[in-house]
Amino acid sequence: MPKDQTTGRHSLPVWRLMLARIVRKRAAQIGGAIVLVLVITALAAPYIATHDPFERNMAQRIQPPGDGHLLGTDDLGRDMFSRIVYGSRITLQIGLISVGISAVVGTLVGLLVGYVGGLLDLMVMRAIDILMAFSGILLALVVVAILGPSLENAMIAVGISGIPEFARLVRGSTVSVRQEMYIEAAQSQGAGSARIMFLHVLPNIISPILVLTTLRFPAAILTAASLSFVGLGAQPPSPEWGALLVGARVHLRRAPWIVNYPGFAIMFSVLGFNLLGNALRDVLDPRELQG
Amino acid sequence: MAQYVARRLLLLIPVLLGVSILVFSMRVLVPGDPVRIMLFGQAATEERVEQLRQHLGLDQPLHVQYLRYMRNILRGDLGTSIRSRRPVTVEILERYPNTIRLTVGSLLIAAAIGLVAGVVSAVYKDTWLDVVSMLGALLGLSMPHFWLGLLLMMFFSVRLRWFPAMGSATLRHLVLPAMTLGLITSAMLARLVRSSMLDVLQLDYVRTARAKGLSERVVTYKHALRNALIPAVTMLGLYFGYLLGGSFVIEIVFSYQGIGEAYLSAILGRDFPLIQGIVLVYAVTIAVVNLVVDCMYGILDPQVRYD
Repeated sequence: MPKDQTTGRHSLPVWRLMLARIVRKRAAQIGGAIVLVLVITALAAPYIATHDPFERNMAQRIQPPGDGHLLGTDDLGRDMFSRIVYGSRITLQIGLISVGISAVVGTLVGLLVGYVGGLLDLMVMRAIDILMAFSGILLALVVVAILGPSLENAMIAVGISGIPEFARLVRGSTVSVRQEMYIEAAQSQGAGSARIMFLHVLPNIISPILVLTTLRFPAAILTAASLSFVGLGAQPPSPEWGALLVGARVHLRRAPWIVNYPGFAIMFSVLGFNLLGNALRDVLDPRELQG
Repeated sequence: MAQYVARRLLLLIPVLLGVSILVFSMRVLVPGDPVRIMLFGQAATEERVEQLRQHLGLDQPLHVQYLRYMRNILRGDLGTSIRSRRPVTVEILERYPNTIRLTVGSLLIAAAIGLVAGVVSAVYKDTWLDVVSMLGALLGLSMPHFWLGLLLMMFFSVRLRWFPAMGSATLRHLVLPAMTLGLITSAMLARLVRSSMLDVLQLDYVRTARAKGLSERVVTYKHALRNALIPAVTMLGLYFGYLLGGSFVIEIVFSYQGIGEAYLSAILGRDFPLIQGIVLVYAVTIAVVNLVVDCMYGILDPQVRYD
């Protein structure tokens, strides 16, 4: 790795340094591999699935894993493996859309109140404190109660429930960056507020946003799966993983595979994103970047 | 101290006001006509629609509706459930103790397991004990509540027949739901306690205590642990909110008669008075718990000044 002659430090761009650090972490390798498997499964679902995930076959209902059905069949004779494979698409979609909503709206709110400050900041932050107390699923439940149960509404609800966390983080980072000399320099050159917020503040606070985005992903997947499980998210016959466990309670004795595999799929994906998010947080922590 | 508590109580007023506006606006934010949504699936004449609209006061301007809503809340009147036609307060009061029992039970389990696992991990850092408990914590954090609930039910109810799988009649009904929620929350707590314990064990006063010749046991459990617990206590309020949210799902898994179960049927049945009442109760519970946690924090950490 080339080193700077005067400081003796690596002169590679910071992001490449970070990438190199992330790749070296064991947790990131495992997490990354799991996420990769998930993404490939979702993209190649039609090629991986062995059956039509919606095709009912009453003659084949509640078959144990084995002959012809890798992970067995459910109470309507549908192939569990194919349903789980297709479910990965919904899981990724939920993660992307809901975390996207949280990140975009939360960042905009945080940037604005952090940069403008004053009464607006005070009022919005108090409101956010109240919403933060409604941690995770409770806030999502309030939104679902208003919008009504469906997969789309569950994604919006999970997205909204993540907004306060992003807004608070971005606001905090914005307030600390606002004091920097380069912001003052931009202001003195006559740059407008919007220009400063998006071109000067935002690029400098992107790492904590990136970390929170990765860490919100597993939370979003879990919340959306819980909503589907209780019937407030994806509706039958959707192969969403939480929805696969609806009514599974009655099969606990006879067909434990109906309960085990979808749950394992959720845990496996969430674990992947958790490992990746934790590794990213460790690496992007500015204290770790020194030296 | 009394002054501090009084000030925190005063600060509760704007929070509760904010919550009341949020809860009130839920009905306003519903897309479409709330009366028709409530009557969905029922053959209702125009007369019946108007009657219900008047009964709910929805024909009044918004500020009048809000004031009326507030006046009723202060009298303890949260309206009447559309489905059961019983007062919302009665519906909630019947179930609320069950939910609190579940939440507190899980919190105790979480505290017991989380503290032990966190401290053991920190004290025996990088040994197999640390690896096993942190791996367990990571898996716990990645598990959906409802799945763990189903697994525990499969093992302890269906196979071993130790505990009932459904209902909320006795204390034995509480064991599995509380264990599910408690185990998952203990995963969060264990990680927190471990990292805060590791931070504290590096501090100068711990080195001084060791230099004085105190036994490792006294240093760890008397000197370090007390300080390492402070971050855990500040998180208690957050955990409580998390547990209340989790209890919603767990109550449904175990058909446990708490407000979470009532909330689900209220959402599915578009029973808005009951929905609003339950959200209000959730919010007030969280606000009060946070107040108590703030006061506890003050007792545990003498550095917190009450001015």
